[in-house]
Amino acid sequence: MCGSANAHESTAEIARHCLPCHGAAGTAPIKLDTPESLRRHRTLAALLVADGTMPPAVNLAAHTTGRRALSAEERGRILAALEGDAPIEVERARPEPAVQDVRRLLAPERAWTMPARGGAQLRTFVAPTDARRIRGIRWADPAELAQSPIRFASLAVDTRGVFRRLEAASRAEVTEGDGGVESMGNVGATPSGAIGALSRVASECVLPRGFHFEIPRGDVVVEVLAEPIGRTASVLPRIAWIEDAVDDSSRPVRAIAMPVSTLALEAATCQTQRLQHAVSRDVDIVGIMVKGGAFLRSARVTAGVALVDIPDFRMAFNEPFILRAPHRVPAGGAIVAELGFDNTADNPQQPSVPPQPVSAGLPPFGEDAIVVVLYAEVAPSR
Amino acid sequence: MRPTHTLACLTALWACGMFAACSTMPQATPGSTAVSTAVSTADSTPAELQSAPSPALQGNAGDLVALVFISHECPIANAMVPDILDLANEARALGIRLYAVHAAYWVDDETIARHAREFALEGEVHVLADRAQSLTRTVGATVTPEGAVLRLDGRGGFERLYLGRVNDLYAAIGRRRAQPTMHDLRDAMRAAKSGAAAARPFAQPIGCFIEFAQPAGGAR
Repeated sequence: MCGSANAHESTAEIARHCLPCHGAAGTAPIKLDTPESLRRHRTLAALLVADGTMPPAVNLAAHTTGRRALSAEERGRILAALEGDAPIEVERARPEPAVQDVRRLLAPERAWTMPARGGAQLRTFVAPTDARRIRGIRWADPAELAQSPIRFASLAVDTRGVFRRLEAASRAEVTEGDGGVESMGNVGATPSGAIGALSRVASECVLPRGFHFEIPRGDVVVEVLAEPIGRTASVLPRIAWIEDAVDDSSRPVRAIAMPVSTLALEAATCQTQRLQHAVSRDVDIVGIMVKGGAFLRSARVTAGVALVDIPDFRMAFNEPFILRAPHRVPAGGAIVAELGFDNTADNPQQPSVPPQPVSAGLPPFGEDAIVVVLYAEVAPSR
Repeated sequence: MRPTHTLACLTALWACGMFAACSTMPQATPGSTAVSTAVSTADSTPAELQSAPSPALQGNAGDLVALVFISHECPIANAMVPDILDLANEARALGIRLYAVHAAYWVDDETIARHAREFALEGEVHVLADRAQSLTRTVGATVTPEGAVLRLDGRGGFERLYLGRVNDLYAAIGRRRAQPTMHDLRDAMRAAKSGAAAARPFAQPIGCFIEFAQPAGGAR
């Protein structure tokens, strides 16, 4: 049996690795923030920690911030704490409070009502914004996610109001619960995610110091991937800007889109798509997003070294990956993404029996995989 | 080999008194198609009555009962509620009583009622609270959502015809299909009604482990 010092250390591991999502103000529906709530779920928690499902660190490359796979020692300490009765250090993991300041909020006007059942769907919302420089974004209130169908949200600027017109044209009259449009959130050549993304397991997306997103006055479109939760549920992504520590020397971050545009998956087959982007001038990569649906099973993004390595892609646990330090790619270099797709009956998310041909398109029966690379020019042109 | 389980028996007097006092659910005549979502709190009785047969196990010899163990907190169990509603319709058509059973020892009546309203179980499915977890243990459920098909022996006992996953909507935690492709509990109900054995008497459920308040104590 552990002594008190070890027990203290063990519960600290729970606070550090579990409570950011499973705390009272976290995004996860199951809470583990009190001894009693932990007791109620300890068998499930222990099993998922033991088999590596939790915490859901999907990216095996070690270059990114945010969650990572646990070491064997950390895993052991969490399992020890789940078997013990030491009180949990709730304070250490308490997330930032909900953002109340409307000047920092990005909120679409109207929600969409997701049906109780069916497959994952993409819904894109529009919200107005003033011009600003931001370090990143966060959920306005992460606790709202706990009972929400929202799994992933990615953002892009829409200065010309394309989506606002699309939304207006998509319906004859405005009714409650029909906000947004069923569409990907790319705006022309600008991929959704160009100004960051959030998910159930990434409550904030913050660029490294010295980098920022430039947001012009106009609209921001928010593409949401949502999964039914068994009851009709309102979907309204409320996001807050993170504006701290952006100074004149900060470099603006832009996005490279690497979409899978010609996907044709025959039934009962697997396929690997190799995407390549040639870099024409020196750039610093600061973040990467891999977005995909039920047929995407693996992703690996390299630029000299592996930046993202996802051997077991799960869209429900997806997140944006911000690099710990910018990764420089010299002119003439390349960014390469290898995406593995599985349209066989062995795919655990295969929606069709027997498998049917799949092409590019919206989920749940299409596949819209894309890699978004966030970068800054080393010597920005003026 | 199908296991047969028998609960500790109570006298008819005790059972009648308990249900009169504790159950707000219209009593379902075995084999009837009456539905209700009022919560049966059969375990909120004095300790000596807590081993009383669950209303789910009351009935005549040969009656078929389907159970779906659920949890208001488990996102996988909740995601499957529309499928449970489909199963309730199918069960009615087959003349099988179906109960949604809250297996958590800590869930209170208000929470169960709110959950039934939010997830449209109200008016569609019998909802039971098994806070004593005697039904859960006796049937052998370990996960929510998990289904069972039982053939009653008329004396508070049953033959378990099926235990396991409701369907394959979830292949793993975080891996949800657009729609289930295998309907294990539905197929087991149909097999039971036709007198055939379930194609598989057990299918591994995916979901949230049921935490028991007390050690098993030989109940299973």
